[in-house]
Amino acid sequence: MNCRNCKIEIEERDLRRESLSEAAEAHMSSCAACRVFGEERLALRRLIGGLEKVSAPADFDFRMRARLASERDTNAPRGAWFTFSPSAFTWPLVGCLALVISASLYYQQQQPGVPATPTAQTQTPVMAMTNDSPQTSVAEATPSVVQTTESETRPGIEVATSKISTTSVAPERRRNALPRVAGHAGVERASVQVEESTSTGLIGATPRFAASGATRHSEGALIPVQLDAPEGQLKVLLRDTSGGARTISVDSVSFGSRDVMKRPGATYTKASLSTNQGVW
Amino acid sequence: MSAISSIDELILPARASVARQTAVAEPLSDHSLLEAARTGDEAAFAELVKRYRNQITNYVYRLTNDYESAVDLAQETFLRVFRAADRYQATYAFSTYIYRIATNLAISELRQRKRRRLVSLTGFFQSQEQSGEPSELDPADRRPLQDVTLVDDERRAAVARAIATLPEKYRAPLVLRDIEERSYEEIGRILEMSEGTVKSRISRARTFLRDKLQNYL
Repeated sequence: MNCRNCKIEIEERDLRRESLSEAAEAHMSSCAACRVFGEERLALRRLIGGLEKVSAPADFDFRMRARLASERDTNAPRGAWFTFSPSAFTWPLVGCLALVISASLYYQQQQPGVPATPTAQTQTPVMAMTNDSPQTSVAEATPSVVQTTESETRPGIEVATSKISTTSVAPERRRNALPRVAGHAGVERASVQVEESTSTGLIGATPRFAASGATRHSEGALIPVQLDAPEGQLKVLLRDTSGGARTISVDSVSFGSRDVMKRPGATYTKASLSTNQGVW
Repeated sequence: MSAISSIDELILPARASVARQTAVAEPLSDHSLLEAARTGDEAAFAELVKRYRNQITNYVYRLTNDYESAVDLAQETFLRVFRAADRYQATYAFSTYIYRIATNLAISELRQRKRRRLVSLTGFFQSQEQSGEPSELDPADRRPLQDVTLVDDERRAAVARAIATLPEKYRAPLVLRDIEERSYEEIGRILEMSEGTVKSRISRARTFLRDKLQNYL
């Protein structure tokens, strides 16, 4: 046995149970350094082990129970009026906030003559537009979003209406030969008046709706719209019975790979009924 | 008709019967007691506290060298055991589990104390004896011993002070091995380190102590 192994054995031995091996004892008898090391370590361990054992105080259990009891009291639910906890008020606060916001929005929408905010978006019934002309494509409108923008208001097409609301268009109505503004049952809409097209894009073959002569359409009436209209948005000025006016932009509507109205950068392909291709 | 053997049996028959069963049956294991405590049996938890309160208090005291703090931390150890009884997994011995909690609490306390000492202005005006807290620099005490009756107390105080000046990473393994007499394997599990690291640290700690306690060896 060498010194290293001997020192390791001295370090690791359990004073209560183990004694050094015979090899280690023999080495220590011949090696003074290991003998001194062993004696020092033994004395040190006895010194450390000779420290008196400290006991818990007599009231340890009592204090322990008191702490447990106080912890239980702390965790027990109390009346909301007696304790303030920020987390307890979070959900009621959020609920109240949501209620106030929705109420204010509802009140704002119910106000007659108040123009919509520039960022307001209203879902509108989408017209089912097909053309029975052999040269024009047969297209079908799908629900889209009409954006009302105050700054875009200009004299032009006027559609008198009091309210625009979301309406799902039945499939059979979508396949009508002419586009129309679908009314919602229960929506107050006395008449639809199309005066003039204001879209700069709607030139040439674009149908110019009756100018100030103001063709009035009743609710659910069909309004002819040229399908192969040039680029741009169709803008319609709506006036309701209370004098309020708003402009809606009818964006290009796409379904599948076909466009009802040409969109910038989109390829436009005419479909013909004569080829019996259908729109799908 | 059976005869009543004691007044306890007359007053509290159920309690007496439990006591008789406990006396006859073998003591429950730590795991069983904790299992019972988990279901709300406070008596089982009290038994656990009774078994370990002195060991844990002594262990924490040797780590912190402050009795009040040791008692407080020992209680906190038991509270944590009680709180986490649902999550306890009987993979290792319960003693390993509770010693690990106590070690973590003690080390946390030592670190907080160290931070407090770093910012303490009053510490500059207090001597070591007055403050009661050992400083990091604790040279060997070379004063002659005055009275034989004071030798033991002085020696114990010197050893305790020397242990308290050890770095944390050496202190806990040394206390567990040389005071609590735990095996290397268990120390490794308590401190979550390998046995080789435990042995190495204990050896280093003893070398530190040998230098500090040269006069007492």
